[in-house]
Amino acid sequence: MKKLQNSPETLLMDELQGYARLHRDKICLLEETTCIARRTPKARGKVKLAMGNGAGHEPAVIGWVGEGMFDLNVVGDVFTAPSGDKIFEGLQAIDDGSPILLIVQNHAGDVLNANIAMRKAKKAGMNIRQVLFYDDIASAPREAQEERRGIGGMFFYTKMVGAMAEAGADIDSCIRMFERVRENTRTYAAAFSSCTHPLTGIRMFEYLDGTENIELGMGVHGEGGGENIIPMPTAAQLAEKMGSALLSDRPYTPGDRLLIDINGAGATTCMEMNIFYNELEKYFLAQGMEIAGAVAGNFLTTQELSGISLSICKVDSEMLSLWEAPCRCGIMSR
Amino acid sequence: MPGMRQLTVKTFQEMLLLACDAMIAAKTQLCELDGFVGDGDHGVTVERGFLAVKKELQSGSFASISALLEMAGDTLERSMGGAIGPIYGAVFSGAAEKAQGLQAADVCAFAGMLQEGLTQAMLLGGAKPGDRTLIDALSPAVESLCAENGEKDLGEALGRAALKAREGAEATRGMTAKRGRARFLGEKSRGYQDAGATSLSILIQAMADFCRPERFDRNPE
Repeated sequence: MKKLQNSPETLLMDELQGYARLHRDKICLLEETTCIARRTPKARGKVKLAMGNGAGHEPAVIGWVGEGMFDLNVVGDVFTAPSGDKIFEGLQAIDDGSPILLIVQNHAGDVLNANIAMRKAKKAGMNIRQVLFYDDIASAPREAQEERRGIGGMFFYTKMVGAMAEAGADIDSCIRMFERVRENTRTYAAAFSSCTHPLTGIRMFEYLDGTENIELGMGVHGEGGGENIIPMPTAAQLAEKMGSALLSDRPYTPGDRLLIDINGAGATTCMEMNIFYNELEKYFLAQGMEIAGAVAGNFLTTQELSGISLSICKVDSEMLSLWEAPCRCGIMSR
Repeated sequence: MPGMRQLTVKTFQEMLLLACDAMIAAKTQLCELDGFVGDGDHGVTVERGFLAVKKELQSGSFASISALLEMAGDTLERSMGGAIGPIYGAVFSGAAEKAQGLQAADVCAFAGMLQEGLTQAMLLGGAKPGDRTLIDALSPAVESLCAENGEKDLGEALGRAALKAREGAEATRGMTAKRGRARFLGEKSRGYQDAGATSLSILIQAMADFCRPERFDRNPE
């Protein structure tokens, strides 16, 4: 396997130490609990945002820690949720009696371990609440929304709820905003190539290699999207295919103001994202939507997978001003 | 040579050590199975968990079978992570609850322990038989042990349970995943044996191997 690393045993700590050194002005590494925490804690009493997740998706979620976004990220092994104990110990490390909002992306391991951590945290007297995010339209029908995976649309709530918490909103308001974002967010993903698991060398999405096919609806750990494999479309065709799938799921209506997030899966070129965005904006405008803002980048990845996920969020002016509020994190400073 | 009828705390600890080695040795096989429908790291996770248990087994001393099982459950939950960590943790912690007060485990005790492990794992993960998870290996093994009628030979009883576990794991090939990441593949998950069910069947097989007298013929003390 051609990956720049030292050994499987030290992979995680090597990475976290490197990231902490690169971004020492924004975050710090808590070595014993493999956590990345914000360098300067918020003023006491403000809501802290926390998440546990597996490594391998960088810059998610370590790069999302900093002012205006997450306060704590508990990092598990590659593609493996951290244990409930580990999440609890990470929470303890930042607990100063302020309210904590533990956000969980809907994946079986993340949910089970977050539930274990919540039990321990409540028993320890922490002021903590838990919310679940799901946005992937390919993973379950609309009627069973809460069974959908949580993927790239997390950018929207992280930014908006993060800005609210930074401004000192109470935890009920933060949760209401989180739910509002979730209600208005939908994501759809496509994989173009295979990638390699950094611990095992096993190829994921190998069946896409040597073909001109792409797969729609894939998850962030190599889980496929069912039988939805199609020949490589043009950017305009894919924009229409993915855009229309998202618009018809909510449903959104003409006149809505949309935020757009194009998330690269790791190896997607900047050129492709620019071209794709160009087509997307044309498509959404033609459907009568207004574009309130857009971002594109490799924010939540699956190693060197080539592919994209497209997330949209319908916003009002309050949500938009939270989206545009300042932040200072590895993935974004504004 | 007559078969073993029961395990003491000491021999139970030795059995767990053998089971750890069997799980660790299965790393590549489990990764390959997981690679068909998941991210291909089940073997890595299993290796990490059972290496941690092995380390505890080698360094600690344990007053009871329950203490051994509780240590294994806590260690697996903590070191494996993912969905599988809490689920394997529940299997061992459930067994530990049932083993409380026991200084030796016979066929009947094994049936009770594994039954409680199964119950706890199902409660935690929400999976039922047929959902294509490790429950599909554990459940028939428990059924087999509970149906033993007066069998005193632990190796024989566990051997039959291990066979049922293996058949259960093999039967997952024909199942569509309802839980975990593989469920997002729907019908595409069919045709491959579930990695979690496979590792669970390897665990039961190792327990059976330990209790079989021929093993002791090979390794005279």
